[in-house]
Amino acid sequence: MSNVNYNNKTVSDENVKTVLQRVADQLKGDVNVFSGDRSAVPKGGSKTSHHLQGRAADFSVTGYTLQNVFANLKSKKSDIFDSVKKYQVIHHGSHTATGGAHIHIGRYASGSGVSFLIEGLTAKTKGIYTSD
Amino acid sequence: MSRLKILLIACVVLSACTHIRAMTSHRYFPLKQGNAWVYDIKLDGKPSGHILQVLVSDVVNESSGQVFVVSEIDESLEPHKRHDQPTTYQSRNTGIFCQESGAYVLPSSLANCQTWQAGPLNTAGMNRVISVDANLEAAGQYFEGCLVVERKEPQFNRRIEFTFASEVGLLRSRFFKLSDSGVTLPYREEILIEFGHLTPPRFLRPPN
Repeated sequence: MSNVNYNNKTVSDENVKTVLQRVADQLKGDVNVFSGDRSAVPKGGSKTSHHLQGRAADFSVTGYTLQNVFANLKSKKSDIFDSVKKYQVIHHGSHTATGGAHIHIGRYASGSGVSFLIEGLTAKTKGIYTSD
Repeated sequence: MSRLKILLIACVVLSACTHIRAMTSHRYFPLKQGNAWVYDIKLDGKPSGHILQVLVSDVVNESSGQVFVVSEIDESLEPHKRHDQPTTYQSRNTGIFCQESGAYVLPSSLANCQTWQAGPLNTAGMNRVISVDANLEAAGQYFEGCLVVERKEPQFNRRIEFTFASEVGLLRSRFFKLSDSGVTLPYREEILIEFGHLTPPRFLRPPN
């Protein structure tokens, strides 16, 4: 059985935690969470981060490249995500404007469906989010 | 104070607060793929040497309608402290709606003194139009008839003042610590220094 290793990080949202466990089960690999809830008040204008709202996790999966994880999340979408909630999945590549390459899953407070975005897969797309 | 004076003052306040500019929010927040803005960041009144870049990077068709994906790089933050998600907006008949905050950035009709919630919860704070005819110099131009919105966020102990120009968008954001007197200097200011439209969408300046 595959597990979700939270590595002392907290993810408050039960829906996101359920999704992470389904990722581990579907991919048969351990999910390693390296960022969850964040509490720091942003200096700038945006306070809309799902992390700040306790509804997001950054992770990788043992034995899989991030590209493979992202592809699996898309192909197994109906097995992993609840159809009545709205999620955002982002593949941050090696050229990311953020701290490092990772998969991000966040949940919106309302709505339904899953949107898949990519960022920083090439130097030209550093910081630029587009649909995939 | 006489009743007549009170009545006169009430009339003046009421008149100022009902000066309606119908359906203007979409002009003040132009969402078009490829629109890009660059802001200079001042911290505690001093230039930080950092910029904030904003870009409408994609438009996605969802079941609820078109969604505009807005990318942002705040170069005053170290990469590992930057937000790792974009902000997504919908241009609705009822105004410009931010999906992440679950609230309107600007409702469709704007009047002086108009208020609306900054989020679905009562704790999210309130927005209030404090001017519909402000003037501001930014990006080497003088803008007249600007819209100024004040947002009070008690949970973050701050007040933010947003100034928008028609057909350009957000000109300036000023962040203040909340205080009883209300008189404080902004601890952070983002002022527009460049804007444009690029196809394919990309930041106006190569990001660090």
